[in-house]
This record gives sequence, C-alpha cells and structure tokens, in this order.
Amino acid sequence: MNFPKGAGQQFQPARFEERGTAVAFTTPALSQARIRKDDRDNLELTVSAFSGVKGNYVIRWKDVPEIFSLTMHDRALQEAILKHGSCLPPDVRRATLETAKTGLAGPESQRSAQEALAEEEEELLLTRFFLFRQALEKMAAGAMTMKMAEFTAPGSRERIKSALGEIAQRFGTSANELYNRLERWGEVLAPLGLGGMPKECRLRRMVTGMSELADNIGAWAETDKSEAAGLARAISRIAYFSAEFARDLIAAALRPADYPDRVLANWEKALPNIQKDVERLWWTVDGWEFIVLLWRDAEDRDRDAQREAVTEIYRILPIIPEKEAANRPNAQGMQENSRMQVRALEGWNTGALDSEMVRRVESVKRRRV
Amino acid sequence: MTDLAAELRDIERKLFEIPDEKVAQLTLLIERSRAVVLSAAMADAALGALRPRLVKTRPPRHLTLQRIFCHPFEDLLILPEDNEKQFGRIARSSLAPCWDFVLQCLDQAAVKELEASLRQSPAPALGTEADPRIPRFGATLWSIAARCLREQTSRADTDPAYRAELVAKLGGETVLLDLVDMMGMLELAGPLEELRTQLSPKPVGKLLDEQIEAIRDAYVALCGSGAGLPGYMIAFTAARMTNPFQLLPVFDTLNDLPTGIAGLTPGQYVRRMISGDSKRFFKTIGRSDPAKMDDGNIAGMVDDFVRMIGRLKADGMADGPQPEMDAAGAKLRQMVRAGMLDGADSKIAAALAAPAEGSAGGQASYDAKVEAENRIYAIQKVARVAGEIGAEKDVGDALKSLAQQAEQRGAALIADIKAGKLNAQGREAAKQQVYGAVRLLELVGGANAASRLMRDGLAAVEKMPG
Repeated sequence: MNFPKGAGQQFQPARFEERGTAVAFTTPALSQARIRKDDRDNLELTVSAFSGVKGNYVIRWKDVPEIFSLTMHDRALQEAILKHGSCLPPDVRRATLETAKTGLAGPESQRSAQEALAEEEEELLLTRFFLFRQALEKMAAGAMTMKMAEFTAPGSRERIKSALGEIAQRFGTSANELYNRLERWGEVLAPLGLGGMPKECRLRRMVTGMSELADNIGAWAETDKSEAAGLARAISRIAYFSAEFARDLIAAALRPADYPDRVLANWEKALPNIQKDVERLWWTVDGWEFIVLLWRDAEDRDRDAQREAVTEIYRILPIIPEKEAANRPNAQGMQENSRMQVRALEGWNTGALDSEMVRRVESVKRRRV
Repeated sequence: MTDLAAELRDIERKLFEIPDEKVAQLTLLIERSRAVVLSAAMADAALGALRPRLVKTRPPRHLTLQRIFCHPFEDLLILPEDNEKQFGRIARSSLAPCWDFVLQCLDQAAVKELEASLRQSPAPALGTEADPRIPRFGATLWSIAARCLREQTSRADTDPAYRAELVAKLGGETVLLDLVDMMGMLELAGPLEELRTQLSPKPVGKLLDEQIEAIRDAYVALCGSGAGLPGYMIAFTAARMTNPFQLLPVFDTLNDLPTGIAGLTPGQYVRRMISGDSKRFFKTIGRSDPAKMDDGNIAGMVDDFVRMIGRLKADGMADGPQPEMDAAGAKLRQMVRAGMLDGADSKIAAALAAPAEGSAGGQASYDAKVEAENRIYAIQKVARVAGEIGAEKDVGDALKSLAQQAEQRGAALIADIKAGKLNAQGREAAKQQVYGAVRLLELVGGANAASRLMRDGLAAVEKMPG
C-alpha cells in the first residue's frame, strides 16, 4: 500500500505529550485511543476518525461516557483516570490495573492485574536491592557487600542506615537522607531494573517484545501476498526503530548507576535527569504491549485473521513523535504514516456494543508481556 | 484455572523454551522411530503434542518416498465420516494400501536407488518454507508412479475380473476410487506445484486479485496442454482454501473449458466439492458429543454451521445436502439446549454466590466466574444466529431469565448492603461483590441495567459504616 509522501504529516504529534497515552479500553471503538492534556491542562481523548479518513476526533475526557456507549469497565476506568487527573503512562497504567482489579473486565483480567501489581512490587524490591548492593560496593570500594536476605530481614533498614553513616559524611549528608535517595532512585529505576538481575523488569520485557514483534511480523510480511504485507513491513520497521530508541534510553537511564557517588553527591540535578530518561522510556513503549499481545494472539490464527490484526496494529501504531527522535537516523521515515479505521467496531446504525468484539479486546487484556 | 489447565499451560510454556535445534532433532527422532521403536499412534501423539511448536519452528521433517509420493494430493486428504467416497477428496486411510500397491508396481531397483539418493540428500535449514527435496525427487517419482497407476487403472476399467482383484487387494471400492484420484493428481503434479506457490501459505483465506488471475491462467494453460484431467486442479485449489465459495465466480467464467468429467463444467466441479465437504461437516456435527465439548466450541460449531448454510443457500446449493443439513441443525439445537442452556442458571448463581477473589476459596470463585462468563458469551454468540437452528425462543428465553436473575440478585445484594449484612466483611469486600454482580448483569442484560446497579450498589457501599 502506498501513501503519498508526507500524507497526514501535518497533523502528526511533535511531542510525546501531544501524542498522548494509549488507554486500554475494552469498548472496541475506543481500544487504544489516546489521552492527553489540552492547553488548559484538561484531559482529552483522541480517537481515530470512524469514516476511514485521516485524522482524529478530540473529545473532552469528561464527555467520553456521554458520547460513546462504554462497557462498565471503561466507565470505571474513565472515572479513575479523571479522578487521578494524570495522563502520564505510568499513572494511566496504574489506573488501568486498579480498574481491571475490580473484575469489571472479567475474572481473567482481574487476576492478570493482581499478578501484574504483585510483580511490580517484586521488581521494585529487586531493583532496590541491586541498586543498594551496587552502590555500596562501589562507594565502599568493595569493603561492603549485601545479600538479599540481609536486605529484606526485619530491622535491615536501620542496619543499612548505620552502615551508610561514614559514606554519608563524605557527601555532607545524613545516613537517613542517603538511604532515602537510594530508595527513591531504586523506585525510579524499578520499571526497567538493573543489569544482572535474575529477571527482566516490565519495560525491558516490553522492549524485548517489540524486537520480537519486529522480527516476527517482518518475517510474516515475506510470506504474505496481500496489501497487508506492506503494512506489516512498516510495522516491523517502526517496532525495530522504537525498540532501538528505547534501548538507548535504558542505557542512558542506567549509566549513572555505574557512578553512584556522583549521582548521590549531585542528587538534586542528577535525579531529574534520570527521571526524564525513564519517563521518555515509558512514553516510547506506551501502546506497544497491546500490539505485541495482539500479534502473538494472531500468530496462532488463520491468514485472514492475521491480515486483520496487521491492519488493526497499523491503525494504532505508536509512532515516536518527530521532535522526540529528531536526531536519529531514519526518524523522518518513521513519521510517514497514515491512520485508517478499517473495520466497523460497533453496529453502525445502533451504536450498540458488539459483545464478541469486546470479548476479543478483553482476551488481549487478560495477558501480559 | 484448574490444576490440569495450569499443568497444560506449563507444558505449553516449556515446549516453547526448548531451543529450535532441539525441536528439530526431536521431530526427526520421532519420525524416524515411527516404524521401528514407536507405534505409529504413539509417534503421531508425540508429534501432535509438538505441533504448536512445529508450526512456529518449521523444522525439516523426516522425508520418505511415501511422503514425497503423497505431496501432490496431500491437500485432498480427509478423515471421512463414513466409508463413502467423497468427490474430490481422498481418505487418509487409503494412503497405506495405495502406497503399498504403488511400491509393488514400481521397478524395485529404481525405488532403491531413489531411496539411497534421498538418504544422502541434506535436509533444508530450520524454518525453510518448503523442502526443496520434494520437487526434486518428486519429479521422477510422480511421473513413474502416475504412468504405472494409469496402466493398472486402465486395465481395471476394461477387465472386470482384474478390477475385482484390485478392489480386494486394496481393501475396498473406495480405496480404488481414491487411488484413481491420486493418479489424477500425480499426472498434474508439475502444474500443481507451480500453482501451489501462488496459493501459499495454506489455508488460503480471502483470495487476492493476483491469486484469482493465477488460478485462471493455470487452468486455461492446463486445458490447453492436454495433460491429465484438469478438474483435479479445481480440487487442489478448493482444498487449499478456507472458503472455497470464492472459487464459484472464478470457475463459472471458465465453464466452456473441460474438467475431464463428461458433462461437468468447472463451476459444477467446485459445487460438487463444496457439497461433499459440507455434507461431511454436517455429519461431523451429527457425531459430536456435547458432553465432551465446552460452551465455546458448541457456539463456534453453531456459528460455522450457520455460515455454511448461508453460503449454500446463497449459491442455490442447499438442496443437495438437505437431509444432512437438517439432521445437523436438529443436533445443534439439542446441543445448545442440553450443553449450554441447561444449567446456565446454576452456573451464573454459583458465580454470583462465589466469594471475592483473594478470599478463602478464591480458586473456586475464579473458576466459577470464568465458567459462567464463558457460558454467557457462548449463549450470546448463539443468540445472534439461533433462528437458523430453530433455537431462537430457547436462547431468547434463557437470556431473559438470566438477566432477570442477575438483576434480582443485584437488587438483593444492595438490600443486604443497606441492611448491614455485609458490614462485617467491610466496604472493599462489599464493593467487590457489587462489581461482580455488575459484570454479570452487563453480560446478560446490557450496559444500561448494569450501570444502574453499579450506581446504586456503590452508593449503598458508600453509606456503609467505617
């Protein structure tokens, strides 16, 4: 499929914030629609035009339940996000998991959300431990080591703080403050984890999933003779580009962990920089989980279903906005994209929800990368 | 999730953790051991377990002369519902006797030489789409096998005594007819291989314009060449498709060309293929045991059935398999009643009465909810097409009754909350029960009723003490 060069580009978002965050709605017409803030800091929803033309509708977030026939899960999700007032990817994800935990998207999504939240806790603990251990080893020139059991044992907090006393003096701060800084740093890095950890944390798993998708859908394109092959190649290229972009951000966010003394000594300046890299990473992988799962699901289905999945993925593909990737080679090529709403997701004359399509969206929601 | 389901999930996960090379080795080992160490059934079962992984890894398969022989007609193979010959299809059970017969007919020295060359030929790399050894060795095997079979079947056509002998040797009349079809396909092996690349990967879904063009061109060229019976190309094409109805307009425009069967046009050939396949599908339904099928499978079968009869009717082909179709419709009606609607009330009740997730009995609660949801979705799916199997009233009444029950139970829950009966459990637990009731009501009664219940339920929870 060929689109004229530059088609639709004038309406492409320039920044992540303008692109918004994908929302895991189960109402098919809104699946992966994006939330962002308008110039007066109010939440709004951008949703693909339904007639197949290029462009999006922009709807005030608070009006969404009035305009669309939403599932109960989506009504609760819309309220949860509205209550929180944030459209940052980690906040939207948290609201999504908390809503799924109610069971309004079914028991399987409920369990999956509970497991995801428990997994996050585990990843936070692991990342903190690895960061503490790495930082202490480096700052004490190998004189201090730590084991997981010591980190989680009762009273460990006080023991570690007392061990930090001498190092804290070097930074002109207290052991308490140094402990808090390390704890906060660990919290910021928890979604990506540290090298050498026994498991990959969520954002890294996402990046791995994106690379696998790039390979698999690219290989699929070589076996397909339909127009979907062209779309699949574009998806593969964009997934590959985004995964590489994300890997660089991971490397940038983790690099300071090799020099903990510098970070802890310049805490007020260093932390925002790390946060910025992690935040950009969140934006970069946002929307890809649904896509990776959608394709994994389609891989076991027939060719027509796979073509349909490719078309759907192409419609919701999260392109890295122009200004975010301005310095990267091939960034321009990644912007060449068009949005098409290819299939009807609700009865066109009734607006009633198609339960089978809701089921399909929910079935993707049940799983995690 | 049940323990068994968890175990199966675990096995499936482990299956995908094995490196590709190991899968390839394991596959070759099982296939080579088939005749020697393992029984065929055991080898097939082992390969069946590996199948999801094989689809992704595509390891080179253990190639035998028999597999090469079967390649041109492998798309036509079926597991028949009875012993009747199906037009344009070959029973899987005919393979062994026919191959034995072919082997006897061939020059034994040539066979041995071919086998030796095959053994020395290296297998393709992992993930290779098609094994290049098949067309290479097939070019020789297919033509000599076709020639030899043509001699034998021609003799059988003119010599009734020899025909009877052949039928006895092969094990039945149907096997002989299958052998004739194998021969027809072998005679066209070359053109079919060319068309195969256009109609890959299998199954072919919606036909693309280029594929339609390729089918037409191939058929016209085949008819012009005078080789074999062209109708077999139609059988090959139809057998590679998920929806062979798409071929009707393609071959109807070629009706002035021959099929090799007197009086049968290409369009009629496609119709006979479809008719045979639909009859077999209807018979499969007739033999289905609802006790061994889950709700989703029954709903899927109803959906497939309705699609099939819709297409048959649209193309004026419903008269042919009418008795089988009626029987299948009746069977599905009975399956929906016995397998899905009976006991649906109690499943929903169990899901509503189940304790909240995370509490004691959490797994039982989870299983009950999943089961109830699956059943409701299955009923909803059938509800769309229930009229086609005469179950409209049953399904409609069931949904209505379920919605009423869900609404009544939701109202009772709110009353209990207001009466303080859930105070001991606390707000969170009460809220969770409201959400559970809302979800089920949404599934059976729609979003509006569920929305009211959610609003009233959460308001009642808000007024709970503490």
